[in-house]
Amino acid sequence: MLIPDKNSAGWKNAICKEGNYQFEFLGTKIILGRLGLKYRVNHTPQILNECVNELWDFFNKNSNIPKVQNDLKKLFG
Amino acid sequence: MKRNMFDVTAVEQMVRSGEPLILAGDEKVLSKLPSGKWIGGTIPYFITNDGGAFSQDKIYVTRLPEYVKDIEAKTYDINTIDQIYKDAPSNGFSFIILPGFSEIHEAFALKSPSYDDFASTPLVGWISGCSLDEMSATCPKTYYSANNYNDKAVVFHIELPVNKIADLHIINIFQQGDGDTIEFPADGFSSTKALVNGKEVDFVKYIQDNNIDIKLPLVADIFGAMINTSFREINEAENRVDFYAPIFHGQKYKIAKPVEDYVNAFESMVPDNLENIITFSCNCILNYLYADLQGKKLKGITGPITFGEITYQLLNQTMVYLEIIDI
Repeated sequence: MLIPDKNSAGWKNAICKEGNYQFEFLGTKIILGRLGLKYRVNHTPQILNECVNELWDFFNKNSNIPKVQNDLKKLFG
Repeated sequence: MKRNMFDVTAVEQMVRSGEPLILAGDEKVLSKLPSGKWIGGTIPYFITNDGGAFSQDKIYVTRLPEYVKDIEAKTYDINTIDQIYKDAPSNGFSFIILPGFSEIHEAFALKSPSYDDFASTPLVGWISGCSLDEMSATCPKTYYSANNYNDKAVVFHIELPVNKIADLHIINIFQQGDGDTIEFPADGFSSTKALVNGKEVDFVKYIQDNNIDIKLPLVADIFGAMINTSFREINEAENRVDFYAPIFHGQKYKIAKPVEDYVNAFESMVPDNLENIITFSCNCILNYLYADLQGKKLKGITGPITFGEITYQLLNQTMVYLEIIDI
């Protein structure tokens, strides 16, 4: 699966909503837990954009890992 | 397997052969080793093939697979540790050992989730320690070659071939209990106040009034990954609760469910033959102490017993392991 554009709503949804995702890769759980917390304590549009950039970078950098690909599908279907 | 306990003479020969090594052992033995391509940390507690053991004369050796493409050894101090993720190889992992109870240990614990590129590459490792009977006479140290530090992290940045990746795992026998949801007003290693189900309380009084067993950690559920924060002590004089790892503002915690039998609980969570696929693992000194692991085997899984475990960030009361898999 190609990495969706940073403007795709799925990125913001992943950070803003405490969804019941069953991720496979520990790094996905840790980064998304951290970004969700960062936004929860300071929920401004600027912080949300920072979080989206970080999350996108994480998936882009790890896109060769099958578990990360599966996690991406859980976010974007 | 590439991990085992050896006496000093055997490890000295490995070092002199030029083989890159990750070592865990008491200061009494690590200080006897020559310069070479090794990093290490002090600790005299281990889970060995014969079970949990205290040893000040053997060294736990982790040898890296032959297919590793490159290893960059580095040290980090309090001013540079925030670069750890930026320095990581594009495909591989970083292995870190931090000196226990040091300023850099505290800084990493509190701030690593805010470091640039946090979690973008696998980071695994542990916090060094020392004999609990000798804590007034010595302090935990790290080693980079034959140099030792009580204020620096030592790191191997390890590059893997493109067909292999590092996959980190945690095995945590603790699950969130069914009790109150606890939050804290600020990040830190201690707190006087907490929000319990949204209501501010005096946290010492809350712990005491509810007879909470502080051998059970606080547990945060992060998308199914159970992340522990262990209680250190109730400081009644200062009306404060201290922790071995930071609590984070906004994070929701629950006290862990009690565990009847650590070894049984652990074994039920561990797949058969896991030891055969592990490149490195470590387990927490609190598990060793609270579950009285001396002499007990953990399904053949060996490694140092540590003063903190690292997978991406600091953990407590957890076993962590590194697996390298083909893609």
